[in-house]
Amino acid sequence: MSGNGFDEVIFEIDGEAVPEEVAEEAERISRSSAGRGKRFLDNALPTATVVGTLIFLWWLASALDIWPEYLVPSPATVVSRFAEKLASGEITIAVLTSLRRVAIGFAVALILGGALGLTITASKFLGKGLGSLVLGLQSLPSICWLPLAFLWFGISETTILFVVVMGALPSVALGLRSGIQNLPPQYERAGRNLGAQGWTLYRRVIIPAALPAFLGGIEQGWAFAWRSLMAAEIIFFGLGLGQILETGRQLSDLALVMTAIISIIAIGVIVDGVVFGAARRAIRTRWGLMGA
Amino acid sequence: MTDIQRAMRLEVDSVSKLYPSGRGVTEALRDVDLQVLPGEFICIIGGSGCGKSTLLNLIAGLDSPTSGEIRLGGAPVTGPGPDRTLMFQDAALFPWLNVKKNVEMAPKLAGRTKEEQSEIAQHYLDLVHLHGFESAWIHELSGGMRQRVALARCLAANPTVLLMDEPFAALDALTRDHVHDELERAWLETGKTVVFVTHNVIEAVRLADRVILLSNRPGQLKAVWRITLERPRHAEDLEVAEIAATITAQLHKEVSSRVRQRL
Repeated sequence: MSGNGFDEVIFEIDGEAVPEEVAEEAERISRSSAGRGKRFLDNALPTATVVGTLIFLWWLASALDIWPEYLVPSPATVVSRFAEKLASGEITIAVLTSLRRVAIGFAVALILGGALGLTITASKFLGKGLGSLVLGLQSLPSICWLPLAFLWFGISETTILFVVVMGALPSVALGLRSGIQNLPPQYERAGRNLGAQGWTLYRRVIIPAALPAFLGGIEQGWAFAWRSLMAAEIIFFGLGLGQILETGRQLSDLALVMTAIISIIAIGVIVDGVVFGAARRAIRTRWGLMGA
Repeated sequence: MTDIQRAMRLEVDSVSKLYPSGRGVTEALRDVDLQVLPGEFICIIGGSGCGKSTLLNLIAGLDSPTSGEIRLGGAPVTGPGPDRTLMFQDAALFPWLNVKKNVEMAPKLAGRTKEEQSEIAQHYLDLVHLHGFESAWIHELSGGMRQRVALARCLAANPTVLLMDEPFAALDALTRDHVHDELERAWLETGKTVVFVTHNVIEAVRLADRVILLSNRPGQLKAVWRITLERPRHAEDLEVAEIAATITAQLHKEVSSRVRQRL
């Protein structure tokens, strides 16, 4: 065996099937971690506990009768007001109106903001000139545009659209710019190398590569669009959830105000969970955990 | 040399490259002359910072020479193009596309139809033995598989010259051996010209028809070895080790001369 300067021992390993205990354990692990129901429970349980506790405290505060009912209505009053407004169709109409407005405004903001973001990224000159202006715009609450929009467009849907667009646009534009600027150079090099240039390079390589970072700007833009819309609807626009808030104030109907506030929060949570949740999951599937 | 060979030849004609750096100017390459025949596999070695990657970027057209000219088939290189695809050390695959869509990118950019894109991509994925991984996402692949996807993606552009910038440096030795086999087979099958940059001498001898040593910065041609060993070769072959030892000695001389210069 020896003599060549080394010793050799080779073991025979029989390739038998996986032992039963090991297979069972593997099955158990995969069942417990992959279970959709369990994952849902993991997410839903903390939320349910916290919301439940808050409602309990609310109920307690109203039951103890420290404050009069018209200042702190009981949960039951709010629920019945909600049911009443739902039955009359007011809430449904308000929700649909607000959603339609924010959807149109946000879509316009995505298109214009995306174009603006690309412009200030691709052109050095405009990047310097316009970049700081857009940054400044972002610090301006978009409801400040309402007087101007009112004078330009009158009491019309265009006015509300303008306010919503101005709310979301800077976040979208800046989100796209920082997404592109923070890209590792390898994607652009690889894309150019495979024959992409100009707009094709952006469309096929740079924009998709920037998507995980851009999504943050899009989500922020959505939040600003939704807030801007509520602010505008409170001030003077018919229909919409903001208008229900204002009606509640005028009638000193706190149950109605709470009904509207809860609806506004619920829509925010649902849109974030359903629309952006799906986008985040798609990105996590593709990029792996690092991209999400 | 036949007319066709002359037509497809890659010529690096007294190329120099200067670029601005912290204090003043760095001379990366000086008067590099190189002729690569169609279907030839050349490896460029040299110490770190000798301009190997710069030369590759110039050939790829991602950067342009300060003086001199690079020609492919007689036509000057003025920018990046799918006739010269560059494969990077970090694969640089597109994570938003699955494996097959990554490989389809070049034919898609070239305006091929959907059927052609799919056919081309499948052909090269089969060539690098990735059949069955078409719909996998990039992050699900191992390092060696990613480099094979990158190779397939480069080949799908149907380049005249395949440029490779230390593509296997980050792989473990066992995986690297395997990818070498894949590359050699793909190269023999497609007949591409390959310019391969590495600092791994055994890898160079294992793969190349010619090994070229660049001097320390500014990079100049220092030595050329023609490797006539029969293929397929293996990294552990005795002949490979012997030639690698000779080349390594020369490389060490070159690297240590720079160390002395610095001291």
